Amino acid sequence: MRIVVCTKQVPDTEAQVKVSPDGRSIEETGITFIMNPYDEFAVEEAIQIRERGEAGTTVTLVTMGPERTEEVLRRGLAMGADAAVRVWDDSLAEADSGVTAEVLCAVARRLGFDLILCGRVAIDDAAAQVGLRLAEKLGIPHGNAVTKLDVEDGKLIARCEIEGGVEVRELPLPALVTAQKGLNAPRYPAIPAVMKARRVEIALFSPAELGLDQSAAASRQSRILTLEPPPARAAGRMIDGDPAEAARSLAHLLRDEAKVI
Amino acid sequence: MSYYHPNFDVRKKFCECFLPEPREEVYAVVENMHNLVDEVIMPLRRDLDGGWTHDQAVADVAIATAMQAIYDSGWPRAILPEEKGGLGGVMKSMVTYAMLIEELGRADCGIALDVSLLYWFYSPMLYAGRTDLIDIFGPPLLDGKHHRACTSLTEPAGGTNIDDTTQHGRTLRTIARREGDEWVINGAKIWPSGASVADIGYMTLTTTDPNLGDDGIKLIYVPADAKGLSFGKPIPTMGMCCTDTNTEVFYDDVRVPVEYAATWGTDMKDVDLFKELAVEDKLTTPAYVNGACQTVLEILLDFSKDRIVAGKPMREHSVFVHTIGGLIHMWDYSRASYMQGCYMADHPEKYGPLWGKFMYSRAASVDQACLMAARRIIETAMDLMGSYGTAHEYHLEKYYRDVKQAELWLGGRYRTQMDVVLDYYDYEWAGPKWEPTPSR
Repeated sequence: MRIVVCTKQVPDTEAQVKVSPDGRSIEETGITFIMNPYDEFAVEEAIQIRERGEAGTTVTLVTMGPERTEEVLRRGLAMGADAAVRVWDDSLAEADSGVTAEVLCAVARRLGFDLILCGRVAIDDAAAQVGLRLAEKLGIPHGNAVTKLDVEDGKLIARCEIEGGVEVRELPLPALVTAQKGLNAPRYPAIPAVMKARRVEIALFSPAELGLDQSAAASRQSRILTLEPPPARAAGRMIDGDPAEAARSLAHLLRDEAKVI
Repeated sequence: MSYYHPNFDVRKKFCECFLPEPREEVYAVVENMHNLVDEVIMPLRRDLDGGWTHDQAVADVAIATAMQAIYDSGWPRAILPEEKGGLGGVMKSMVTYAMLIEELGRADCGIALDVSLLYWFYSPMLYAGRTDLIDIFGPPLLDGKHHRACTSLTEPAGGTNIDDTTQHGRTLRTIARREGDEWVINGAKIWPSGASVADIGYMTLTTTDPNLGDDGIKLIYVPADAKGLSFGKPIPTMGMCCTDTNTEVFYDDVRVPVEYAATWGTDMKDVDLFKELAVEDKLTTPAYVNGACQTVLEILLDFSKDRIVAGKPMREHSVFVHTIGGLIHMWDYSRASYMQGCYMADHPEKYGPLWGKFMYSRAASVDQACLMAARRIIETAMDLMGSYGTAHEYHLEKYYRDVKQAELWLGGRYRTQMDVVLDYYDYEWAGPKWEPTPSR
């Protein structure tokens, strides 16, 4: 089985993200980048499928981004993936979900695949679109927000989270699955694997090498006009005085001002 | 983590100029350990100490979990030469080892010590090129299970003088007598970390005759199950109270093959390996103590951000700004100091062997600078946090206990300062000639 896993590099969840002076991007200085946590579930699942599955199963990681994004590929390689591909040229600097899906579609076709795994959502833009758009472009079925995945007789049994419940779907292969938290516990790469992963050659493709016309893609992609941080939290209010009176005031504020009770 | 700042990140805090090549590989390995520590070991911090009541049963479960994660990472096997199952490459570097151990120290000094004890146990045989000893004692590092080793140096009578190289081993009371193809060891040690729980072995500092001075010194590997080896009861201590076990080690006619002496069949001197061991300890203990200080600073920065004094966050008052700034720079220069020392250790072609006067003095200097800075950082953080600083909930008291304990090793501050001057002027011990006590 040929498994392709789409990964994205995102700012660390603990990083303090600031809008850069251009107002359209984030300030990268001082930011630590990590593999999107949902993509880690996808990588782990792919490796587990290979470990318990048929001989000859391969796991190939794909990412789209500048050179620094190779770090996520190397982390995935250290976890146990077999190969990695990066796609980039400057024309992709402002790629939206649609263009990203087009690029990944071209890569998947180039590599060949039986199963594609993606994270359910990237924690930076939280768009949750690329996986589903990719399935649509490839014309394959998908399981979204999957928390359990089994491969049986050439098909997938996927337990998908849906609003207010769970749906178990059967998907014929080839198919695409987006990984939800709870699917597995991503492993910590062992030191020998980390060292080995540093030496793996990562294939680099430009959109043109994948047969994509970026000028056409640019004409139909959305653009970020402005980025704004969320409004600053208002200062807390202290309620002084007699405890009984303070409790009444608090209840009043929660009911009439905050409208939370 | 308590408080995120990019300067706490692996790629910022460890200056690449000290790193072995390929540097990206070092950063990747250390970053991996950083993540493992944050997600697996940090949450265990209280339990590693057995909680407030130091319940050893609680601690044992946490220690097993933490150490298994470390063994699963493949780190301990890195101690071995590549041809014996080790990892080679950047993992041979003391700089890499120190960076990894600093990351571990962020969570717990005792767990970091557990790993360090392995390095210290094996280093004499590695420096002596004793592949035959590696064949005998090395396999536990390859089975992926938690093992412990002990470096058995300090004695009840000799105390800290054992570590004073100007005494040339004349106060040693643990005697190795040659009988045919065996060493017969008699004597006692006290305080060795890992004593009574080590299952790999006891690397034991002995002398064939105290009056021979340096020439009498023998470092001898004693298997953990050797007949005649026994232990006292664990001595409860202030720091690392559950992660480390200190007690007496008794050697009563313990017999081991002659080739278990670290330098057997080589041109090396045991006294040099003993000095090498001390240098390694003094260059890497500061690393995990520095890790502990990072966590303390994170806790302090977090606390002082939310603590309001006279209408604004505590850390925005100039007196606190000044004090916190001082703590950060101590933490920063401590790392620069030990990283430089480890870099020098990695380059004996430029700085001489670890047992040379230069490195011995340099390591003592690093140890003193970093340990004193660490204690000041934690004490001052406690001062700033007031009673919160002493509360179990805030972890500072645990780091304080652990760091103080580490500061006392290898003779503590005052004795180690004597080592600092060794490279600047000579001084020698002028005590009386030692007379052996009658055999028991």
